[in-house]
Amino acid sequence: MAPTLILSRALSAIVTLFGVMVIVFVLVRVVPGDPIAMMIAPGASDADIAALRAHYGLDLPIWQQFLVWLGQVLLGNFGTSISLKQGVLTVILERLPATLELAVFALAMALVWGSFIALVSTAARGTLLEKFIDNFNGVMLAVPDFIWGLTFVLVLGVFVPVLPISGRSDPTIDAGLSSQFYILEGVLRGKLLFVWDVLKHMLLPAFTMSFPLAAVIGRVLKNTMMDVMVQDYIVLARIKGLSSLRILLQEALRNAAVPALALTGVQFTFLIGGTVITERIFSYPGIGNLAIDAVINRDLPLIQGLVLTFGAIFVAVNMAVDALAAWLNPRLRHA
Amino acid sequence: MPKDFRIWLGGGFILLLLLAAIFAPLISPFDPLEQDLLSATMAPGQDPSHIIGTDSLGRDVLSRLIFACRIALTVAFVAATLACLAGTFLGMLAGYLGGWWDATISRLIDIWMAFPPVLLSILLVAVLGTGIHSVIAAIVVIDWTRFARVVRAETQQQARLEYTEAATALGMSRGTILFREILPNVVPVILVLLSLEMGIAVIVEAILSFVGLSVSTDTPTWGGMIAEGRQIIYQAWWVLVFPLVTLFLTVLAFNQLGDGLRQWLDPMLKR
Amino acid sequence: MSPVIDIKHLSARSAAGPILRDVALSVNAGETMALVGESGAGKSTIAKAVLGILPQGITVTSGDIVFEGKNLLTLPQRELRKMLGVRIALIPQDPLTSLNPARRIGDQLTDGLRLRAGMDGKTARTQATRLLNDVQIRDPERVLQRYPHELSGGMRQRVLIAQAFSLNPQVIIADEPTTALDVTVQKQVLRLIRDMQRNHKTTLLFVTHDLGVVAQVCDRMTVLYGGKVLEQGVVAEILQSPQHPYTQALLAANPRYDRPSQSLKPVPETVLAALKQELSA
Repeated sequence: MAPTLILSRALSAIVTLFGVMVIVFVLVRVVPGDPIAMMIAPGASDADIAALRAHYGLDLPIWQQFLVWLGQVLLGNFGTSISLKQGVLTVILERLPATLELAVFALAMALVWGSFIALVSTAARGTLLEKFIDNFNGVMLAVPDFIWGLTFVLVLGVFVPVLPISGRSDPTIDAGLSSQFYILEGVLRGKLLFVWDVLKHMLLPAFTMSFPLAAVIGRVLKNTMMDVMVQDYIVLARIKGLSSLRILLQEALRNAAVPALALTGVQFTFLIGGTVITERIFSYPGIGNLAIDAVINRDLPLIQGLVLTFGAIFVAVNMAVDALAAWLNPRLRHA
Repeated sequence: MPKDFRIWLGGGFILLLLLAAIFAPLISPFDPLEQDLLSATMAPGQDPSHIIGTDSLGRDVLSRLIFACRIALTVAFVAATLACLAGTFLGMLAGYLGGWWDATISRLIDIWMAFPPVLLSILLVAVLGTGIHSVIAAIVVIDWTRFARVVRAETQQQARLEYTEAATALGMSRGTILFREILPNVVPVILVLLSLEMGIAVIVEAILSFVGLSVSTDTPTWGGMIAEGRQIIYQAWWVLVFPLVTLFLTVLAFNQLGDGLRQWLDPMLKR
Repeated sequence: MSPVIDIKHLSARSAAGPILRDVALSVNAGETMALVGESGAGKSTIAKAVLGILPQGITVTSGDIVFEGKNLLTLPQRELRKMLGVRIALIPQDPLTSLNPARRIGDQLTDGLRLRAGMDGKTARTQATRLLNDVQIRDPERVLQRYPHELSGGMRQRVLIAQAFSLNPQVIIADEPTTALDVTVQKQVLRLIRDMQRNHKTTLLFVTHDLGVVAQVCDRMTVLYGGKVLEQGVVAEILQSPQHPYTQALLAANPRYDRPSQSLKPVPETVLAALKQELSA
């Protein structure tokens, strides 16, 4: 990518993030409920309430509260969670790795699963197998992930209990890790048994989140593959005597991948949004589950911190996808 | 008469739910809130009077399932209709007036749709507080774009057709043309979207009740029942299974109805 | 001399009607055979039938295509694939769409060398550089690093010619290889194909609608109309004294075929009417 393009992308990312911050702040500060009212003990004096108010900066005008908050955020201080009485940044950083590992795992599954669907149905075009895969794909897409997740809980967790359906790891195993990146650190330190346990816990939630994404990737990738398969260079590749598998993977997939990838970027943000429900269903200790508790407790600093975190992730994902698309499509790289 | 069986199947199931919701007090075997700790977590068939069992507080699952139709259908009909009205209005404005209106509304739709709906709905409920009004408001605020986007494109297309030009030549006002000439031609598309949106609204309501951000836990909802069932899943799977299956069938019914309507109305769209 | 490619009684049809009618065609080793005709005459169908890439909807109803003692039409896919690229290659019509836009020239050019000739990456690259030199591309090392969209149409066609010759096949089919190029580039590419063919002693089946091209590079020619072979023979003889009324009319309509032109001028209606009657009989 040309430097000017990178610069303009980065600038628009900053603008987007700032917009998210402003919107969240404004939205959250017009909440009818009063968070202080929930914290005070019955019979607290007005002075106590005022002191608490001042302590959390809730007595200042809105725009000052925003500037104060913005300054604090830029300094890395996200404030203190009202419900957990802990620094927001500390709380989020403790839970974020769990969500990131889950989301990346789910994305990888969706990509593998979706590409597999697309490749098989392209290779089987014109046969019954193609029809079957298309219909199966339709079902995957039509049923929401909420229902998928609970169905997996029932079938694979309860009726045929092969996989764990709650938490992130077996609490009886103490791996003695120093970070929250269980998989990353576990692999680096060679604690493979622990990693295996974490993976088992991640399998069903990741499967749930990957289902709709895999269906979308499968459908779009297959459609573009079908268009690519009739191109002259594919015909020539066949005349060069390349095998069908090689043509599919080396010649067609890369050209068909760009539109599918652009879509994956948008859908990945939805997948991350989906962590909220999925983590709840599987009692998974990530930031999605945290977000719901924050909303239930009306924990304003935490909500803001979380939404900002989600916003930052969305922006980062979109930039990464742009970069990847440029790498895959040489014509874009020089544009 | 539509021949597509999906319309009959989907519509029939929804009608069944509607009747259950209206006559809930008459057909429910028990009071959905009545607790009976002596007959808690009874499996289906264990006690003939509790056909599909009881939950951890001894409440009758079937009765709760029936009463929960009320919340689900209220949210489905009200939220989807309001989202439809808002989206259709803005979509028609953008599609018919064009220019600055179109640019503004289209940009708004793009920004809106880039934001993951789950996050937006949680943020909105956080702002508005829990309760059925917030759930409905969240659905309307998020999903008006679904209507606006399609209606805008459809209106744009209709506005280019000859009959609209003829009406303009006859000196009809823009408002008259929009509502008398164009709207009737966009209605089939809106009906299809409306049906699909109701299915979405049912799911969103269930999710928000599941995480405890919808109506208070006193009122039976499918999502609330699923949340309870999830907690006692190893002791009483039926508390989760029956509302889940009902939810699935309801969503399926709205989808099938929508798809059926699309198929049925399609030849009318291609005049 | 025994023919390298021997096509006998080849007929093919689509839903719309016959595409090829009892075509007989033999190409001798080392010669260049032209397939000439207007669009729809069936010349491309013959080429595609040899390569086994007939589009869906066109079926061969009878006939053989014998190459190296094997009938290509009945050969299993596996066996045919072993021959393609190694024994038979193609110079395609449109260089702009025939190279994969997402892969470097070097990778595409070395496919055959690595996968079919079993060369390792380094040897294949050296060989590819030599091939690009042969097709008169300057600075071949740099071109190998390029993507197709960074090269001109003429350059791309040179790359495709290098690719076709890379495994030194017995037969190369050139499917209107200059049609998509600028008039100025056409002559260079044409000369290049002829020189390469002579150096490698390759048998060339040259599909074209350009009589000028035929006169320049081909030894023998086959005139087709409506899927039927009308006349076959040595180029100089046919151009001098055409036997079939259609060929006569074609030459009369295009007297300056030594000059490049984009398409054949049509033959008078009276000749065509007689021909159509003959075909439908």
